[in-house]
Order: sequence, then structure tokens, then C-alpha cells
Amino acid sequence: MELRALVVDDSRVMRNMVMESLKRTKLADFTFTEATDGADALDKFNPDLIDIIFVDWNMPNMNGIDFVRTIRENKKIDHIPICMVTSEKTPDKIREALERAGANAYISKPFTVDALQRKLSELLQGMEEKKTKKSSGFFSRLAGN
Amino acid sequence: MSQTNTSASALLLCQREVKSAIHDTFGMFLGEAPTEIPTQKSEQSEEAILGMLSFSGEWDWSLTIGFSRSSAASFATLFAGFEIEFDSADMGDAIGEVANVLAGDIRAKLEAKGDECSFGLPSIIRGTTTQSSSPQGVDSTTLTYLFEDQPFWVELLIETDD
Repeated sequence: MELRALVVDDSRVMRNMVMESLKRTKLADFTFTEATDGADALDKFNPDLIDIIFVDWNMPNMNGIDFVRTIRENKKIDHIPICMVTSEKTPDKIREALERAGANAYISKPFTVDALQRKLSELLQGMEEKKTKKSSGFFSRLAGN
Repeated sequence: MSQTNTSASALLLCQREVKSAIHDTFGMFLGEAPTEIPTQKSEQSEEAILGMLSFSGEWDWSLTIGFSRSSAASFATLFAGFEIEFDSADMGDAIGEVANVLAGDIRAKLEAKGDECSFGLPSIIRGTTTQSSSPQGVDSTTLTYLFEDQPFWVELLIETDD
């Protein structure tokens, strides 16, 4: 399975850590687009070329949570799964990201490849279910159900 | 931190949570928690890199984590999972991220005890270590740790209530 991931973090080292860890999960063949903050990510984000997004919280210019909100406000692209990868780990912050901003998953730094693999696995399952639902809806409509 | 705390007791509380965060966070990616050792003033100067972060809440305080040339290289490489040279831009990035990850855990631990705070983005300083002294109106404490026989240190500064 091929997966085109947008990795957003102001730290080049952390972007490399996320990308290397994603490859090590062996759950997909990844290609990556990198962005240094939320504003840069919005510039580089093309919904036709990105399948999944991994984004940090604390960044200059536009932080991660504002980036997530901006993506979720656009109904045409709000199906793309977003995973926050951040040093923020208080329950309030996690709730803010998942329940209010609309991120699909949340990983606290430092993380292990195993933890990333579990989250990614859940996200991929969600993507599959969405696809199945969409196509079954389409066939139901064709069948006149 | 409750209103009745003095800066000295607030510093002690911060110190306790910083120690706990170093144990938990660094223990996770280093494989074992670093060992705390008594802090001694060094007579020798050496190249170092420092990651600094400020916290705001009931008290304004800052955390600085410092590594010598040799400890930075091995620490950052273990943190990142790939080799990072001391003189590279990635070293600053890695130490900033180490400070950031530590701050996230400290904040979570403080908040779990009812002390809400926020922290800023890390800044990095490179240079040669020298004897430091705290300015007036600031309490400070330094914690020193050994990791693979290499020292690193964490300095906490808090404004006093005087």
C-alpha cells in the first residue's frame, strides 16, 4: 500500500524521526512531503497528493492546532486523517486536539515505533472503512436502494 | 502552584517534577534513566550547547538543559536514532526538541497536581561553559546527571517573591 504523508514540524530532526519511524512500522510504502510550520504546510498541502498528515503542535508562524482547524473547516478536504505528534500531553490538550479541532489521532513525544504503528494501524483501518462506506453507498445508489 | 507558595517552595516543587520528568522521559529513549550526581562547579571551561525554555503560570520560571560537546553527541544521537554531529544545525534542533519534550512532561506532571502553566518555544545557545551566577531577584538550582559516564545538567531559575 502506498501512502503519501505530509509531515509538519519546525524541527528537521523531529521530521526525520517521524519519517524514519513511519517507515519502520512497515505498514505502507511512504512518500513524504515536509513542512516547517502550519503556514508552510497549508502552502504545500494538495489534497490530491496527500493521504495522511502528521503535525506537531508548538511551531512558529502557524501552530499545529490552528493548522488542523483550518483543514477541518474545509469540507472538501476534511476526510484526510490527521495525527498530532507533540510534546503536549495534558488531558486538556489531547481533548482540544481530538474533540474540538478534529484531529484523528494523538501521539505524545517521545514515542516508540510500536506506539506509532498502533496509531497508524487504527488510522488506516478508519480510512479503509470510509472507503468501503463510500463505495457501498455508491453501489446502493446505483441499485436504487 | 497555590498562592501560599513562596518562590523557594515553588522552586522545590518544580525541581521535583523536573527530576521525575527526566527519569520518565529520558529513561524512555535512553533505555535507562540517567543517574543524578552531586553538582560541582567545574574549574575547566568546555564547549557546550544549551536548550532553554520559559514557563508561565502562578510563577514564571525557566529551564536550561546543558550538554558538553561529548555528551551532546551521544545524547542527541540516541534521542534521534541517527548520528548527529555537535557542529551541525541538527544538533541545535535535537537539543531544542529534547528541551521541548522534557517541558511537555513537566507541564503534564504539574497540571496533574493542579498547577497549570504554559511553556514557550525552546531557544538554543552554543558557547563555552563559564561560571554562572543568578541575578538579583532570582532563585536557582542546578541538577547534574550522568548518562553513559557523560554529564549533562539542568538549571532552574525562578523569580523570587521578595
